[in-house]
Amino acid sequence: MQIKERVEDPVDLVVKSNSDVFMTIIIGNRQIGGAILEFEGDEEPFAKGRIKNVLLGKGRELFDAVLLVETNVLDSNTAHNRIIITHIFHYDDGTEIDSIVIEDEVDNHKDILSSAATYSFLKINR
Amino acid sequence: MKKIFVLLVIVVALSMGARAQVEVSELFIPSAPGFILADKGPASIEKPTTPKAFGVSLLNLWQGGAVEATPFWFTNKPLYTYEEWIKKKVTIVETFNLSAATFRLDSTSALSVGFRTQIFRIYDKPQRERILAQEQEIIDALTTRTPAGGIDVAKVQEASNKLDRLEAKGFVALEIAGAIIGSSNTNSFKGLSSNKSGVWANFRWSPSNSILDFVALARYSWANNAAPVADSDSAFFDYGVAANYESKSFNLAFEYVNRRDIAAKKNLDRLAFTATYQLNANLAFVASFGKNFAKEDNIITVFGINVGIANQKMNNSGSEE
Repeated sequence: MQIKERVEDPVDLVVKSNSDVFMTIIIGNRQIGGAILEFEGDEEPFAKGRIKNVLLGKGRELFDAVLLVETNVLDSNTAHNRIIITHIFHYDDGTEIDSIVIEDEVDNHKDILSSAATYSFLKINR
Repeated sequence: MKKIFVLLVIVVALSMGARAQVEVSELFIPSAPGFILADKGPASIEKPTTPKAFGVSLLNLWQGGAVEATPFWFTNKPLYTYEEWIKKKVTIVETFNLSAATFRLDSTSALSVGFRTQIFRIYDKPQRERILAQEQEIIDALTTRTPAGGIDVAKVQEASNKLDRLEAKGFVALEIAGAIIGSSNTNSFKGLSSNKSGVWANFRWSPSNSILDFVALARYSWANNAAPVADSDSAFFDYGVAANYESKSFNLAFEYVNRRDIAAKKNLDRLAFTATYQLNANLAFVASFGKNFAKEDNIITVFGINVGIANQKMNNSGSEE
């Protein structure tokens, strides 16, 4: 059981100031995984495990924050070793802010893919 | 030369033995339907299993092999979660598998194409809940940092092994398969013609509270391009049962198949016992013995090895005598 680590390019997300921002992570390809969410500088993770409709905060509260997302996936699909992770940022009504897809492959069945992603939040310029 | 080649494969497999532990069942690629139709595998009744996106299996190193593909998994499925897979009952599309096999006959080579697919696989409710709880345990292990800040790999491994054991029990499944075999008397592609076809269904019942699981088989096979002569083996109807016991290193299987020779209006039967011992992550020994269908020359004696190299699992079992 080996761990394959990768670091994603930082992503800027443009969000509304007065709207709640949520995050959902989907682990596809019938694989098993979860994530650790933490804001840069915090001592403890903000959320971890299965990430579904997790409230990150109002848009204006996020403008100075940097969100670090570590997603760990165990290859548990015997058909192949490919991993696909989707990070979805959305509002309360489900409207999608952005969707980031991470695709990779581990060398052996039962290996782990560990992805580290960084997100910053920008105010919409009207 | 053959002995040197087999020895070389064993040495390679043993040298790769330091890899992570795998379950004995993972060393098996699902047998190509063509092998089963030609009575070329150690077992006549195969357990329905999850096929690989693309796999290679060897009947043995000099007699032939097969390639198989599961088109559904050729592309990524970003929204297909593990939970959805476990809750899903109809699994035809995900498991539809095509294969092509080639093997030696007495004086020529045969080519076979086949398909197999699982119609349904249904976990009982308590088992489904146990599986999903175990999935959660793996997620917790993956997202809990060690004091050093990393992933506790041993904990993930342990939880994953437990999940494998849970997935193997507490369900019923129905699989159908079919194959056609062709050969050429002149050993040329131009003279290739089909000479045997078959379709069959395997029903597997794996109770969660039993150490055994059971498979029932119904199979119809017929000869193509054969003159309709009475007393010839032109069409068969097979039905049978198999019981399997699987532990961490051992797999023991017992099977009984009754064959109705429709043209000759007579019944034949087959009784076989197959044992598999996993030596390490890459190497397992297979032995099978018993009585085959034929009236004469019907002793089954198989001794072979299953070899897994890199990410592909190869089946290198011996053929029946």
